This record gives sequence, C-alpha cells and structure tokens, in this order.
Amino acid sequence: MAPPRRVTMVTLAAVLLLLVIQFGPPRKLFDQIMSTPDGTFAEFYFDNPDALPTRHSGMGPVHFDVGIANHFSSARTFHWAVVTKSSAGEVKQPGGTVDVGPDETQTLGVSVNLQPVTGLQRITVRLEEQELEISLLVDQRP
Amino acid sequence: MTERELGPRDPRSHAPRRRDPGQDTVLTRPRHDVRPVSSSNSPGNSPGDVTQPDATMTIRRVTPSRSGLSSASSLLRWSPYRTQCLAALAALDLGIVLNQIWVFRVLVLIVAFSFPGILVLDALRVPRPTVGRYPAIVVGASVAVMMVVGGVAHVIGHAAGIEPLSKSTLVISFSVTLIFIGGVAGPGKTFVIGDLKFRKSTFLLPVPVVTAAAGAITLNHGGPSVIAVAGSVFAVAGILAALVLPAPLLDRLAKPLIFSSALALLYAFSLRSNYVYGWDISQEYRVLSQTASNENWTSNVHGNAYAAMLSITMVPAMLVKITGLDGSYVFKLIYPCFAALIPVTIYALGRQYLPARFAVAGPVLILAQQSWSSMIPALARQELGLFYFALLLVALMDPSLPARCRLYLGVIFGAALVLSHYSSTYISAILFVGTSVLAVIFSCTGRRKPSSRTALIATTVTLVVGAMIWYVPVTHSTSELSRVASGLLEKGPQILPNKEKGSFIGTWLNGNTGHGLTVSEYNEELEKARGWVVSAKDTDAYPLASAPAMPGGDRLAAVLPFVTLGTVALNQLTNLLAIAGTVVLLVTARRRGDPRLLIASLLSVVMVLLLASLRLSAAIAEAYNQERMMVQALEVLSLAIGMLLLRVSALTKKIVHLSRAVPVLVAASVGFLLANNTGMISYFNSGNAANFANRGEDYERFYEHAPEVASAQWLTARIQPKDILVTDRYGQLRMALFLDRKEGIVTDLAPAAIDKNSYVYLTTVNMEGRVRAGIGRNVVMFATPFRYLDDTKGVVYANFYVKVYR
Repeated sequence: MAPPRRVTMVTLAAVLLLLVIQFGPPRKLFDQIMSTPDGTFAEFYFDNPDALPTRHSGMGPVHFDVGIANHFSSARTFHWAVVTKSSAGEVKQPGGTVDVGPDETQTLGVSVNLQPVTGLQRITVRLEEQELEISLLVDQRP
Repeated sequence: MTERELGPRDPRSHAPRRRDPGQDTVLTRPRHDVRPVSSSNSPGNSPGDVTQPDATMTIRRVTPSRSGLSSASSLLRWSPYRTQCLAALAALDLGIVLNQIWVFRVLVLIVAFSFPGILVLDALRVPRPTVGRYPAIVVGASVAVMMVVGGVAHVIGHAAGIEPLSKSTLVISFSVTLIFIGGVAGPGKTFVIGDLKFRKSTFLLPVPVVTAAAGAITLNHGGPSVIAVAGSVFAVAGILAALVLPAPLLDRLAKPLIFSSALALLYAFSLRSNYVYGWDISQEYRVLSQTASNENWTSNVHGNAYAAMLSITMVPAMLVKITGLDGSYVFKLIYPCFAALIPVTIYALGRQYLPARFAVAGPVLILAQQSWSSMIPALARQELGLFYFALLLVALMDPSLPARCRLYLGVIFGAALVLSHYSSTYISAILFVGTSVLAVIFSCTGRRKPSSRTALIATTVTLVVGAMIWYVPVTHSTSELSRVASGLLEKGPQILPNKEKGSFIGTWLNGNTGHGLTVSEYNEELEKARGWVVSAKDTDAYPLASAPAMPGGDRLAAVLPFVTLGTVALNQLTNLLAIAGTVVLLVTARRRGDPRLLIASLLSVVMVLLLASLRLSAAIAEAYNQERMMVQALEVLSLAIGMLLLRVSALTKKIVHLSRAVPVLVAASVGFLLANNTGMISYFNSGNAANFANRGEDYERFYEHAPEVASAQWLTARIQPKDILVTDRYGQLRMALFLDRKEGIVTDLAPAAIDKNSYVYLTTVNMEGRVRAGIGRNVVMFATPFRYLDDTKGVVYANFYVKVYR
C-alpha cells in the first residue's frame, strides 16, 4: 500500500523546497525584504510639545525636554547646542554631548536663559553634526 | 481530475457524456444522486483494505443526502482520508507553534489556504473535477473557514478568559473547527486534488513573479530599474503569449500564464516600499495593526467601515499570528495572490463556454486596466471582495456544479463577500437583485426558466440580508452608504455635471473623473472654504507659489498625444465590446436554450446599466471609483466579450479568410494598453514610474519612507484629540498608518488653512518643496510654504527627511 510515485515525488520536492527556503538564498532575500534600507537617520524632538512654554515672564530660565532616537546601525555621539534669536540678535549657549546606542532613545532636560528683550524670541536646539534643529517661539511681552 | 482518475464509467449511470472544453478528456457530468467514492467505502471493507488516492475508483449510486452531510455510520468510519486530514491538521498546528522558523511559515501558508477549503468542499460534495478546474474555490473556502475559526476563537477566548486571536486560542480553534468539518466531510475520497502534472515549461512561469518581486525590492534598496522593467516585460509577454499561443499549448498553460503575469504586475507595485504602498491600504494597515496588537476583533467599530470588514481585520490578524509575518507583508505578499486568482477563475469559467483563445480575452482585458496594477494592490479588502465576487459567478454559472452545490457555494461566498468589502457587496447586491428581477420576468413571460434561479435568489438574499445584518445592527458601519444616499437626496444624480465645459462626447470620454487645478483657482476656493481658520499672521503676505518641477525628461513628447488618444479609444472600444457582447450573449443564450448562459447574459445586461449610471452620474461616481468598478464589471462581462470576439472571428474567417485576425488585433490592443497602463511608456518618456524608478508622481504620493513612518508614530503618540493637524493630501496617508481619526485633519497645506495652534506635518516630498492638495477629485501642486511656517511656528520634530511644526 505504498503511496503513489507522483505523491512521493511531490512530497520530496516540497521538503527540498522548504529546506532551500529555510537555509538557502530565499531566506536571505526575505531577510532583505524585512530590513529597513533607509533606516539610517536620527530623530530629534521636543518630548512633550503640549507643555512647551509659549509665553515667559523674563524671570529665570525656560525648561523643556528633548529626545534623540538613533536609527543608525551603530552607537552615535550627538553634540547639541542652544541658540536664542531675538530682535537683539543671536546668542549661542553651550550644550553638551550624549551617547545613544543603535535603536535607542535618550531624553535630555534642557534649561535656557532667554535674552532680556521684549517680544518674540526663538529658541533653537541643534544637533551639530547631524544638522538637525528644533525650535520654539516664546513671547516675552509683559 | 481526468476520467482515468474517476475510473471506468459507471454502466448504471445514464448521465450524458459531454465534451468538456476545459479538459482534454471526456468527463461524466456529476449527478445529484451519484457521488464518486473510493472502494474503501463499500460496506464491510476494513480500514486496511482501502484503495489509495491514485487507484481506480468506482462510482456507485448511493442514497441521496440532500443536506450533503454524512450519515451517522460514515461519521464513525475511519479511512485514509481522515488519516490524511489529521496529518494536515497536525502540520498546521505544528507550523503555527513553530512559526518563528521560515520553513514552518511556508508550511502554515500552504496548509491554511488548502486544507480547510478541501474539507468544506468535500463536506458540500462539490465534484472534484470542478474543484480541480477552479483552484480559487479551495482558497476561497479556506478563507471562509478562517472567518468561522475567528468566530470560534472568540467564543473559546471569552470562555477561557484569554485573547481570542492569540496563537494558543487560534491553534485550539483551528483544531476544533477542522475536526468538526472533517467529521462532516466523511470518508471516501483522496485528499489530493486534480492531476498533478508538471511540464518543463511550467517551471518557467514563476519567472515574471520572481523577477518583478526582485525588481521592486532592488528598487527599494536604491538599486537599478532594469530588474523591475524586466519583470513587467515578462508579465506583459506572458499575457500576450496567452492570446497568441497555439490552442493545445494555450489550454495547458493559460491558467499558470495568467496567474503569474497577474501576480507579477501586482507585486511590481505592492512590494514597493518597506511599508504598505497606496492610499486605502494605509488605513487598512492601521485597523489590521490594531486588531493584531489587541489580539481581538470587536463589532463595536464606531461607524468605521474599515474596522467592520473581517478581510482587513480578523483574517489578516489571524494570518499574522499563525504565520508570524508582519501585517504589512500579509497585505503585500499574500493578498495580491487572491487578486491574481480572479482572472484565472474568470478564464476557467469562460472556458466552459468558449474556446481557450476567446475565453482568455476577457481576463486579459482585466489585466490591461490601469487600475489592475496600480490600484488593486493598494486595496486589500477589495482584493478579497472581488475574489469572492468571481467565485460567486462560478457558483452561479459553472455548468458542472450540481444545483445543491450551487446553492451552498452561493450562500457561503456571498456571506464571505459581505464580510470582505462593503462597496463590492453593494454593487453585487444591486447586480444580483436586478438579475433576479429579470430572471423572474423571463419566467413569467413563459421563457425558459434559468436553472440557477434558486441559487441566484439565495445568493441575492444572502447579499442583501447579510449586508443589512452585518453593516447595520452588528457593526453600525453604513457611513459610506449613508454618505452616498444623502448626496443623492441632496443634489440628485448630477447627470454629466461638467457638460457645460465641453461637448457631450468630451464629457463622456472624460467621465466623472477629476482634473488639475491651477494654484490661483485653488487659492480662491480655499479662501472661501477656510474662513474659520485663525491665522498667526496675515496670509496675504505669503501667496502660494508654483512648485519646483519634478525631475524627469520628455523624450517621447511627439508620441504621447497619440498614446493618450489610443488609450481613450481602446477604453471606449472595451465599453462597446461589452455592450455588443451582452447582446450577442443574450441572443446566444436564447438560441441555445442554455439556462446558465441566460443568467450570464442577464448579469451582463445589469452590469452594463450599472457602468453607464456610474459614467453619467457624478453623485454615484463620487461614491465609487470608476476604474475599480471596471475590474468588477469585466469579471461579469468577460464571457460576453469572449462570445462577441468568437462571433466576429467566425465572420472574418468566413468573409476574408483570416482566422487569426481577431486574436492578433486583440493582442496588439492589449499590448498597447499594457505598455501604457503598466507605466512603461511613462518610464521611457520621463523616467518616472513608481514601479520602475524611485521618482515620479505616484512614487511621491504613495512611497512611504522609514523616517516618515517614524515621525508619524511620534506625532500619533503626542497629538491630542483637540489638536488640528495640517498636512499634505498624501501626508495624511503616513499619518493614517497610526492615527485613528478623520476629524481635525486639514489636507490643505497652505497658509490660509494653517491654524496658529495646529500641528503641521511635512513629508519627504514636502521637504523637497512640493505640496499636493485638492478639492474633491481635482488636485493641485504648489510650493511648500516654508517662509510662512518658519515665521509663525516652531519645529517640534525633525529627522533628515521630515519636519513637524507647532
């Protein structure tokens, strides 16, 4: 009561095909499909955009959190800095560095002293090497 | 299955022998009271005496079982069939448990799309030759079983307090459901379907599919276009070969040729981007992701018509769980296979009435539609909906199906269609109601009664009642239908609304499609529509500017007007063929007295009327895309077109002695349409075509990049219900992957529409300076208003390709 030759051949061919899929080039092709070719970038953002200050009394620094997500395949060191810009001109303030591993996210607490001017002032946080910047507008009118 | 497999003809059977145009051999027409059984079922045979699948079987008269269910004694009888079933079930369960390993993923896919369907079809006593002729029936029945398994999983999951769509619940649910159906199916048949014949040439047929898939993936990784172009060239060559091959070779190769060509054209688009590619599929992916991550589907969908469709919620979520594939690849890899089975099924159905050369014409016309390659792969729910629609046509029109099977399949596939796609269901319901009415009128006027009338009415009732139950009390998801109804009530049908701008012919040719807007036209409309916006600054100081030109050349400028003209002419010729074919089919059906042809001709009549109403009424056209409708219409009209071409061919042969003139003309026309509609002409003209290059209109609209997806996820996690989001017409697609709301999204990325507190989401293309917006179906492109955004807003998110302003 042996199975028909055709069924045996088809079964053997199917097993062979499955082995090739598991261990051969198709597996690599599928891995390639699943990979993200344009996954080489960093995300830079205000962690809580709803809580960003839009007005400021001029007393004390402004606080906010920024986040950096590293989508490069290796760990990166990011150098960040802050620039304030108002009608009085542009002032650069020292920032710092932060190490972020691949597919990791870091959050930084940032405090910025605003220029003592009345009116709108733009605060810009830069990731120097990445040429990425985020910014917010703060109204310092009384 | 051939006669050899069926064994010697039962001398007691008086069923007429007929020549089956789909087979090379003579088949015995299945009778209601005769079913093929293996000799192992003879009373007294022990399980050890059974005949093997390939062995000769006898056909004997058995007691009719109207329900199609096994008798109690057969339920208790063991057989190799049940051993095979248990082995398949074990393979499925093992595959689900070990689906982290690729081999088992493939195993699960193969078993899940064949085994449940075979069991159901055996339980319904669907003749094996019919099943062998339509492989799609097995797949369709398998997916229908998955929907049932999903229901069983919900019962088990809720009873046991575990998530219904978790892997463990699904293993139990599949086992319970399939053991039940296997018991009902009863012993008696081999598990192997059809005559497995492999010819050397068959192995060449996956070439277009593999090349097209490799081409799309290569492009995704920034590679050259040559592989993608080769894939489409192979697909087009396959389609043209199906039209000109010698008849004996065509008979053997038509199905694999059509399937591989159709799938190659679909993969060329569906596999672009590492995420989903297209408009609707972005929202479909979101409801799938939500269902899969919740491991539960609920009927409480809050009016969301997408979430009410099991085709894009429960079924793909189950596939995600049982195969371990990512949801986007369930849509990109598996769903196009459903669509590719549509023309194969329509061909096999046409082959029952026509020679292969003419049966292939209709399905090939489906593939030549522009919507086939660029639109269908972006409509997962419609891929399954149109697939079930094709199976409904088989259930009603295939001459080899017994009346009982016709009825059961009509009900099952009708219900599956209702659960798969609402628009296809509405169109089908109107079509079948109209056809039922005509069929009743034919009966009342003393004409021959269509033999499928019971099945037709049962299918119609299933569609209408099923839709009324599923869309109204169960899911409350009639928003799309309500929108159309209220539009019709408010504005009327709006017959040819653009006719004042041109001649009647021009209006007819252009149909109710959209057109381009100038920047100033758009701006005027925008000012009127967006009077409520609170702007941060006077927007008059920031006028809209023209967008920077897209990259690309114009190498075929002298030829393009003729290409456009030729395409319009051939599309109109297709309409004419459909109308004339319907008349020919109606006349042929009456002359032959063939009741199934009569059903086919009545379906064609109603479908032609539906097509005309969509062409003439802007209100209806607004509700349903004409290009998509054409694919569904051609499923019905293929037989009529084939019948017409057969008549014309006979005439040309008689009058001018040119037997090959019609097939050659059809091949030339289809080749021309394919060259244009697959984007080849556009690619060779300007280098712009999403399936051949990383640039062009469609590429900019639909190709989703990783940074865009990451930014959409970031914004979705932070945006509040009260917040307004302003984005590009196609930026909303990136957001639709994750953001589940329609209100509060403004797709006019122009200063006049940007509220001072809104979020503004700029995509990769917007960052390059081009914004697309539109009013209704009319689209405009203008320059990104960077100056206004930089003057009035801060940047709350940035990566190299995307920015979010606030």
